[in-house]
Amino acid sequence: MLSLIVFLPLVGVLLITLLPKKFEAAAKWLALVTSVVDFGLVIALLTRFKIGSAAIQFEKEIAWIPQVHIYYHLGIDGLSLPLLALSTLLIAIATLASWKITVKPRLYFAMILLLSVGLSGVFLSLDLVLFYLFWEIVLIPMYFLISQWGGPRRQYAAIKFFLYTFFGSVFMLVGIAALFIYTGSFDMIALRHLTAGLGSGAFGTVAWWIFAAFAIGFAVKIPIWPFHTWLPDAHVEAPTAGSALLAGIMLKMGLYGFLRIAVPILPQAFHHWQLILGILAVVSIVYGAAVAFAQTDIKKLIAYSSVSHMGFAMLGIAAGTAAGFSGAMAVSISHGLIAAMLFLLVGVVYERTHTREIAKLSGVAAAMPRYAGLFCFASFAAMGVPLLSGFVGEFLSLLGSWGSAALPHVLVVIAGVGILLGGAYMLWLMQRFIFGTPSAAIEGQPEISARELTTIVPLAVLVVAIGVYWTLLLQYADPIARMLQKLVGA
Amino acid sequence: MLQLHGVIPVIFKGYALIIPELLLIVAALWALFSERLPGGNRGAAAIAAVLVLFSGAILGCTAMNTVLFGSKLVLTQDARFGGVVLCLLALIWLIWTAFAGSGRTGEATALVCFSLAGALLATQAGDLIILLLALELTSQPIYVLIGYRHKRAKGLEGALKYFLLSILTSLFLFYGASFVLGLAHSTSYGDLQNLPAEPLMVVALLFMLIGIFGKMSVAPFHFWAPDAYEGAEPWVVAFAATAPKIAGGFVLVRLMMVLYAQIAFLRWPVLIAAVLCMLLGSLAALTQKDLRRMLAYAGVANMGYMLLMVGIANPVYVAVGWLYALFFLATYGLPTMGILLIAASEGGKVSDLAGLSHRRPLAAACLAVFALSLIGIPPLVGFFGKFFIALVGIAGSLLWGVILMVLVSAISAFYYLRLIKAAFFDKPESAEAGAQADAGAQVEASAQAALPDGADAASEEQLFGRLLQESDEALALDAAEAGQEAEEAAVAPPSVRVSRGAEFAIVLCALLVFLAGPAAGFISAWLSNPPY
Repeated sequence: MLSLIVFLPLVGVLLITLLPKKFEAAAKWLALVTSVVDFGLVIALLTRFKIGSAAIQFEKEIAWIPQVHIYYHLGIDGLSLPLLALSTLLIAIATLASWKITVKPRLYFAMILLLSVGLSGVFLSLDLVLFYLFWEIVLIPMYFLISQWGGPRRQYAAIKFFLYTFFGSVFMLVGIAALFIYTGSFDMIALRHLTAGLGSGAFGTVAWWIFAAFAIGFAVKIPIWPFHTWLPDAHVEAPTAGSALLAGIMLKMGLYGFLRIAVPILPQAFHHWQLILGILAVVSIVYGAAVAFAQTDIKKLIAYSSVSHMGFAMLGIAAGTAAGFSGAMAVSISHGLIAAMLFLLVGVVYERTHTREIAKLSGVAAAMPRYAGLFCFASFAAMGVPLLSGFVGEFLSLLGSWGSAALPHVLVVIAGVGILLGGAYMLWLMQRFIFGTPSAAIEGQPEISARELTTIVPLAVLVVAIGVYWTLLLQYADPIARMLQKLVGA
Repeated sequence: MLQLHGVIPVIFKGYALIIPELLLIVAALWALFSERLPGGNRGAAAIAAVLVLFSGAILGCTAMNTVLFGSKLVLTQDARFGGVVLCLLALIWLIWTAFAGSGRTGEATALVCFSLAGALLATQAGDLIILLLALELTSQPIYVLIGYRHKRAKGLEGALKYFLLSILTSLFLFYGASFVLGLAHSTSYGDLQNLPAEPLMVVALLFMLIGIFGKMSVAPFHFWAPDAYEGAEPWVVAFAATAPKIAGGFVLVRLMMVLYAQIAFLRWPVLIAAVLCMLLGSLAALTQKDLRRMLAYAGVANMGYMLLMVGIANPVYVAVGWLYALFFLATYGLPTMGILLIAASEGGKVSDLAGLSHRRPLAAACLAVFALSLIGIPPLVGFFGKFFIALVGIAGSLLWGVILMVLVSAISAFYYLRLIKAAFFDKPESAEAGAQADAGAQVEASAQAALPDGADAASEEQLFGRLLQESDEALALDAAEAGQEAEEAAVAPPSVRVSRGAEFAIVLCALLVFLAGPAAGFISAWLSNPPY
């Protein structure tokens, strides 16, 4: 079942590759069907998933390279299930959002599907080498998406994206290798007991360094200040669907890495890192928000706001409490929905006007009232207004970090100021972009189309659903968060 | 295949060892007279390909530790693996030549067959004399290959440089070996294991090491490689940059296996060379505009990764380190061969790859596979090469080396990505650019195209500006060269259409790179049957 979810898109990739050039327009249909079926499989999985347990379900383990104990090992739990659902949903939506791609459509949609393979694989693998494999596979399609269909500075952004994240992940590889040397296993679940058995004596220092290696790899991906500089470039230059996938799901790979690997496997080292991570998280929150103020490019503004929001997730993790972990997971999902929505909405306007300068785009409300309503909705969600999903995660993160023994309260206060800043720049954006006198570029543009609505409405519905009925998300996150809290012994 | 191990010796006895070499000599002789034989140049390459296929199959099926001529030749496990890898490389090269070679390729085929025979003998040698002769047989055909198109001044320059330096390294090797003979009173590997611990022996082994490093183009003895490769044509470099190096690597590992128990100090020169290789190779490769020069430097960096494994001290991990050193050599050779064969139909500059995805989508996809494998992206075979090195390196207390390796790999991603960028995203220069009389303008244009991002990459430009300046001298040389090449282009225009057979060779190579990754476990199991 899990293998099918991971590798079904690969079948789509093969079919698209075999498509003759004459029928290249059919590539998008193939991609859409594949991704929707894939999402359907995840829904089927969702119904059969046993809620309320932190145990791994639907486990599958086959020896792959037994000489060095590398296994093909998949499994799912409450931590990965929501992320898997989010990623397959966003892939389907990204396909639909890319309907007007006419340059090399076969390569484009093959890359989107390949991305899906990588993302599902990352969230489902329970073997570190397999995890690394999928982690790196994600890089390749994204590199191609940015550098072929991106904006004017796409080559620079694509190479920067690749090199930054590759730089981070090679450290992770060293960490993986070092863990193996000390424990003789790549099994993420078994490692929890194996490292506990090593004690904190001589292994303590080693564990600190291994945690550092993982932290660099994950922090680059999230990204946490000061590893964030690839993100604005990549987000701005990527095509709409690429930005939505980057912000919506790829950033969460780093958070997932912390929650799945770094924290539970090296809880002792995590204690030494909590404060450092907490400070970096708060710097990200404030820095991201402050820089977002200064942006004139709407995509760049949202990109920096992502840095800020990811800071909240990181703060929740650094807290080391159940509420903090729940908050981090909730931020992952809700920011995935909201950021994807915002980037898709920006893409709608960009497709019509070919500019992203806020100054040139004022007064959307007059020309496209329905669009303006949706954009305001998404902005409010991003601000963390209660009853929308953005509130859940940030509230829990702050709650968790306030209750944490490892983080001083002043950090939480500063983070709270970050929420205010977040509200301010989004409101200011709305004021400049949505309201005001209609600019020349906006005047007379057609209203958001039915296809574009289809890409956004499901996300909006989920944002409301999670915001109103937290349990929808927390029923999966909570057992995991409590298990993590027990592991780190906070 | 594993069950066949018993069959081959029953038929051929120990002579199974020499049969591949005999087949290769038959192929070489056929190729030498191919002008007068049916099939011509291309037929000769096809026949050679078939014979190389048989050679590889026979080697793969011969039982381990088969001995011939009183242990002058020994088929150890590593030699068997090396033989199969070398035969695969030569097979791909010959298939390409059979379908896409233009002009007189008969002699080149013959030279490659001779060189391959030498390389096989070198990996199987159980005696220093055999080893020295085999290494000469490996490298001497390459001198001729480098200067194959003798009308190109640059090719002759490269060939001469290669010839002189290679002879010099051979002299080091011979000189060191003569001391070893004097000390051990024997040239057999078996007797070398009991070398007396004397200062003279240190000198002797260092000399031999330098000789082998020169053959492998390991820093600081690598300076001949970029010039020699740049002077040669890409299809020649495809062989010259892979097979002799891999043979050299296998010989080094084999000698270390023989000598290690006695002489642990040898690891220090090896480790120093490894560090130099990684740093010099990858930094120099960053700024190269010529694909062949770039791959020459990248090859130096790759040899550095491999040497890390040879320099492991921890006795528990020494054997497995050697194993993965050999495996890594294979993961280096295949993609390098593939990239150069693609370039063979396009041109030797990185900028010549521009627009490849429009002209040859299949080849462009293969190029991406090769480049990503060399970067070390899973699940391609290059990842497993590096990953195994990282595992054994950390276990064998070479953590600093592993960290250096992953940093250098991250740097290397930059220059390998340039290939992908050129092939997929750059617009090809106008077709007439090659024939422009104004050589200066052409160099300018290619320099622009090869820069990371043109105007956008201001920061990169600053970062690498110093390095770029250093390569200005090379550019000035290029200017003179370009004029010459332009004249040549007028005489013999490069083939525009690439035959399906050539693409087949490249796809075969890409498939190997692709499939060998997931099968890494099987390969390493096959390789890790105890060597002795």
